[in-house]
Amino acid sequence: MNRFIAFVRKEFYHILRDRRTLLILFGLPLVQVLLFGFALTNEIKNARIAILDQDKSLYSQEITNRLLSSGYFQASEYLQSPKQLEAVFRKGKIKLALVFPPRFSNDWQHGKKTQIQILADASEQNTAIALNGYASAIIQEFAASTNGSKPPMAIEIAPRMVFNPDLKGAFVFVPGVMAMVLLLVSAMMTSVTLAREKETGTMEVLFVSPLNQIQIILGKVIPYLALSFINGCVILLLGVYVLGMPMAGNLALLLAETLLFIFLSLSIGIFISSITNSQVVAMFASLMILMMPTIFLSGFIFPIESMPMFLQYFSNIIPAKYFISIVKGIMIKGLGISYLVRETLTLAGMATFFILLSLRNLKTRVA
Amino acid sequence: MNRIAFLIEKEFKQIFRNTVLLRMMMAMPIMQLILLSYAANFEVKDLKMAVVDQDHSSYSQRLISKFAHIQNFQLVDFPTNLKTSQESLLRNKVDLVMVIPPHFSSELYRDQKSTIQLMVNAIDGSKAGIASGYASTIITDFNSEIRVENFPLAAQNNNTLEITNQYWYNPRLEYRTFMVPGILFELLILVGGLISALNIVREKEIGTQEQLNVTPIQKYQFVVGKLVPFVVIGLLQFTIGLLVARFVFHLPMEGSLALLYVFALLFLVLSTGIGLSISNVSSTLQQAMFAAFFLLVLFILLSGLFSSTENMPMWAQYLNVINPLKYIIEVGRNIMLKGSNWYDLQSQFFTLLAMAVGINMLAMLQYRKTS
Repeated sequence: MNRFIAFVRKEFYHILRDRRTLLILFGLPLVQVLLFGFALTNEIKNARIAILDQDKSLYSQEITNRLLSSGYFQASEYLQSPKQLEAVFRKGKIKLALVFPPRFSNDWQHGKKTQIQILADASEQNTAIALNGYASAIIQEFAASTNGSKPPMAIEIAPRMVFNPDLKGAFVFVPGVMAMVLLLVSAMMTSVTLAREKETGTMEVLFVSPLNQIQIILGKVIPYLALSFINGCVILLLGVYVLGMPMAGNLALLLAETLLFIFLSLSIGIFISSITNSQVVAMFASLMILMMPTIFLSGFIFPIESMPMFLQYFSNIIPAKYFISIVKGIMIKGLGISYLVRETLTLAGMATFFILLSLRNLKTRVA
Repeated sequence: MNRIAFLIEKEFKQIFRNTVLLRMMMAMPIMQLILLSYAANFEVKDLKMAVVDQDHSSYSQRLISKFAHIQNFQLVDFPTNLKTSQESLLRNKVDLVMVIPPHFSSELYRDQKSTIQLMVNAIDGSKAGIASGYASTIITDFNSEIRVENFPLAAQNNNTLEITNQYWYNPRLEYRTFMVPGILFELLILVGGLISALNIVREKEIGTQEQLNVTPIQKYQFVVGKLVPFVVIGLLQFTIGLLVARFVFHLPMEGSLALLYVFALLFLVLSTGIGLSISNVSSTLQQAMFAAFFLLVLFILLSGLFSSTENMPMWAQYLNVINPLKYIIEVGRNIMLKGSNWYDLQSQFFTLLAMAVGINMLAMLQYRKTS
């Protein structure tokens, strides 16, 4: 046992001395959380628009003013003819163009049907939809205010945003970033470290030491367990204190589930390193079979329900999916363990599976 | 010149001998493109809905049947009270709950107004916004229906102002059309940048760097020799990606293909330069890998691949001035979707050119034979 502790201590020193990697290890989650939290907003302000006013009347002026004073739009170009529209879009200068037809106010005052055209650059599709929605709402509000009189038999709609009344993006991405960083540190780093020992031949040196194989692997892995756990806590703290995530459930339960997920990631890392001897291959394998599916299929960025059926089935084997739903459940909804039995058991089952698999691989290697 | 040719030959041989890596390099872009274009979808459909009908009138029945006929909604549950509906929200069984108040229809006749409550699971805020928007549209439709039935005259003279919307360059509003041009270039920096970042440091680790150092090659020859193979492989990858985009996803190609390749070439030289520069200053593969990964994540998140760069706060926009991925994604979307030409994209070209020259000069200066 003493020997084992000494070995773990040696591994710790090893990691702590590589200052640069350590810096990135702790910098990466920090930067990711802050970027997601503050930079990646879908909130729209001061989008540049072009105005083609073929009417030049009080009404068209009024609508333009209302749009520009809303804070969503800023006028970038005033066009003279419809021919210019395509050119300004192609330059990528504007996101939206507003076209008033000639005789617009005249028709409008005499109760004739008249149209305002909104042209949106939909190569950025989500922005286009949002901008269009804002502009339409402002114009309709103007139309209603000049029309007067309240409609009869009005059904009012009172939407209530349960669990996340301010619609904060953090509620989705903090659990996602946490899963990603834990996987990165535990699975990717361990698989690369173990592969490195094999590649440089130092693994053989360790194997002739009085420690047995399992002790060696454990010793290599324990420091990463500690690092991942600290990283997870840092993300949680940032989420709660900087980005305003709630902590509705039991903290001890959350930490226990985090440990379980780290344990699973480590076992995947060991498994990857048990099938390859090259660092670069280990890295690409972790990138391709872990990181990419985690980013795209865990529901972290894109909702799982919108995917085609085969990807929805496929997402069931992505560990991060279960972890993310556990973190959301505990932090936001305040769920207890009785609600999370299925997810927890799935993670535990996956961990057992990978450990058994890599044990088998290890044994055949020695034989 | 001959020396460079030999160096390039050596690099190619090294790359082609590592078949596992080569296969991964070629498979990764295709896999990511396909994954993304199927998975990356913010379309909200199959919303699971519960209805708490406390009125049981013909109006409430009609409203519910309207939802039943819309494909986006699946009526899964009709709880009798609010409590059970909240439990289903907790258990993720439903996405939204519509609560029709008691006396709904009598209120509409007597007070001329009534309120319907929508409870939406808002953990995913953007999805919740869309879901409540859909539901509101249906309720508003229903509202104007009953209004016309009861007040045929009043409903008519409203709304002579029509608003027509046109979505240019992506009329069907497909998320795929928005994503694929960005992904094509993101892959170039991901694979080109990452693999070149591992290259020199690997030579250091296995000791072959020393062998190169004793040869008479010069700094620029060393860098060019490293650069060319990655650029060639990157272009190959780009071509595969373009073919997938064209024939699997039917993406338009409005602008000039030649111009797109010129930009791809420039961008590859730039990404490889970044990779070589990282590789030069790292002493272990692990260091290089994490440094490259860190930088790439930063570039990708800020680049506007997922969300528009113009909505970012000022500090992020300043950071973006030095983000090559931001410029090239603009270029990709503008050429492929809008058909922008050389005159439209000059400023991006010269910015990228300056960056490419700068970073490769740096890589050259960093390479030292002495330790």
